[in-house]
Amino acid sequence: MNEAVVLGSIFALFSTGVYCIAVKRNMIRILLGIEIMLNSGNLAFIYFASLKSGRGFIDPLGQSIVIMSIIIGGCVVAVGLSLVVNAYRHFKTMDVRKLRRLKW
Amino acid sequence: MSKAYSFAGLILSVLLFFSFFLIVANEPFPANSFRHGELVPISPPGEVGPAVSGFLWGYRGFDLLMQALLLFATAMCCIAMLREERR
Amino acid sequence: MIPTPLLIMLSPIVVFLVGFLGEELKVKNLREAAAVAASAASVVAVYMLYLMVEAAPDGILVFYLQALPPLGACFEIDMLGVFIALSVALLTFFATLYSVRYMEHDTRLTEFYALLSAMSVGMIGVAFAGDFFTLFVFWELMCISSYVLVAFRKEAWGPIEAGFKYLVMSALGATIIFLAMAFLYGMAGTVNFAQLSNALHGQPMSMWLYIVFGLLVVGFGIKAAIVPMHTWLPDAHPEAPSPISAMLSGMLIETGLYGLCRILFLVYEPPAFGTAIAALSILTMCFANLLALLQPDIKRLLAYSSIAQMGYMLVGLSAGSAYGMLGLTAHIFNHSLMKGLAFLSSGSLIHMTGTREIEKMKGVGRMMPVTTFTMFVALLGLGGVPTTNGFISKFILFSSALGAGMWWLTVIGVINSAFSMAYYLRVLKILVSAPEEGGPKVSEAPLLMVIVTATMAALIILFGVYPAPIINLADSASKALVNGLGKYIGAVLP
Repeated sequence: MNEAVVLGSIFALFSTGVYCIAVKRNMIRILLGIEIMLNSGNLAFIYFASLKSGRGFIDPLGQSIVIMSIIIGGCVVAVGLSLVVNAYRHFKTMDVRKLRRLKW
Repeated sequence: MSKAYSFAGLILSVLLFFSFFLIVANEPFPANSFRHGELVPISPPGEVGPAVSGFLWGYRGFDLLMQALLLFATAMCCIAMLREERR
Repeated sequence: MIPTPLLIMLSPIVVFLVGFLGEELKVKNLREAAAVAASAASVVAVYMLYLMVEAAPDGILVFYLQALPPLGACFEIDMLGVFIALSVALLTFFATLYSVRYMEHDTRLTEFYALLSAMSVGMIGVAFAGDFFTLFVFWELMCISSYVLVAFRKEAWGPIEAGFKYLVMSALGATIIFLAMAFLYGMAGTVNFAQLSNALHGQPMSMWLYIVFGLLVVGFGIKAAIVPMHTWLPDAHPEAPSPISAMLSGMLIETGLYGLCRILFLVYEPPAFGTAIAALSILTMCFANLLALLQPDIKRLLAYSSIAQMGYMLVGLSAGSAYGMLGLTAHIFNHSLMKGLAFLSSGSLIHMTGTREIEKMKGVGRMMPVTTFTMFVALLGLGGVPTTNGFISKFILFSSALGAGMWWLTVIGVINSAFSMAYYLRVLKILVSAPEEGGPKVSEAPLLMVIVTATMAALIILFGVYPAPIINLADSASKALVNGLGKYIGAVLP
């Protein structure tokens, strides 16, 4: 039952992230969707770390990977936001639907 | 019609807000007055920071160094994207 | 400990510092010299590592910083890693040398060369990684540098749009890889490749293993431009500056394919993934070749051609044998040379004529003979004409599919390869036709760009006539992947 709840929430976070990337129009919200998806991976790591050893502490490898993955997620969003700042400065729009000039 | 409703809602919420203060003024909240002894059996772990960074540097030091390189590259990216040079 | 050749991992910092000094002290060309020196040093360093790997027992080198490998992060360098790193270093050297002249009128060049160096370091790190999380860190380094390099000329709208779309899709792919890594960690308790292989190789396929397989194919496939997930590529490649397009198409997507191959051979067995990869390969080849016919823009045409070439490489992966992987690794090297040359010579054409449309370049070939000749060599190589190295690797790829019993894959592959000559020859025909009245009047490209493209064309013809060095190297690389699993595990676990 516990496992079903955690796996269900991993899936729910993942689909929320995919929904944000697919449906939202504002560039910043799309970047937040990427962050949400990365958080689903973090949750999976922590949950599996807690299952692994029955020795009274949670596997430190899982926690270390999550610490470093949070930093990586921050870097990706930083670069994305610098692109959004450029799009806004030069072209006064943050709407992804206007990014349709390159077709086919 | 909706103006009357919003005015009524405003009056109701203001009355609710002030009624809270009337209750609190008469009787303070009995915090922690019905506790019995130590309910949480674990004491704080003390030094978590040095243990975690001991693990990180000892076992994953290579990844941390490459992470530092990645942070440098991110700083480079943001400078490249946000610098305005007038020619 | 860490050997001396791996000090090239610090080259982005060095390039940035020297370039910054050069800008402040107003010394001309110091940053270009630093960038070219750093890329040449990385070629030399990878060659030294190749010698070390050959001399090592079992042909595998393991490097770690403080803790022993199964728990600590490590580099596990075998022949395949060295082969990929060699292709990356060579293409980076050519691209850096070319961009000295191509990008000379742009601003923010210090950051450009530092990021180019960082992208190359990331790709080399992905090739060498012995641990799934180390691979992920270097993967993100490679990806983050490439997002900004695609959107580099930020004054125009196209690069910003292409850069943002590329960022969203590529970050999506990286996150899916991270989730697959989490599931593998949950099943096996480790992220080290050798321990994962020891735990999971040969297990009967259950539902969760299929789910992880799907996640891995989608995650790596977004980067390797496999067809349902390729949509970022035709926008990102044309809008990037030409040397960056050459790097992206030449090695970035192949590094994605390398990651997929490595993990599939470590965790799964070839019969399990053969059919799925074959289906994806047919889809990729046919879709990309059909769409390439419609393109008016030369770089977009070459971008679709890259997707088709990834389809051919997937034929080799689906065969699942060492011979198929020989075709794949040889084609990775050959494609990096050929597609790199195609993008660099089309960059010369674009630099001189100022336009990207093929129709407007009528007759330019007569005014720029050397560049057109190198374009000719590159496109013939991509089409698989004998005496170019493209012919040899395509031959090995398609015959490996025959050897694995999938004759329908060979037939479709050969038809697609012949079909692709149609759009390559169309480009050449327009270039060498007689110039029109109001057409462009251009002279030959700058000397440095001509030297780089001519050298790459000479290498293509040389390896087409005398392929033995590349084939032998690719052979030991593919055998290290497919047959050397025991040695790979034994190098880390006692």
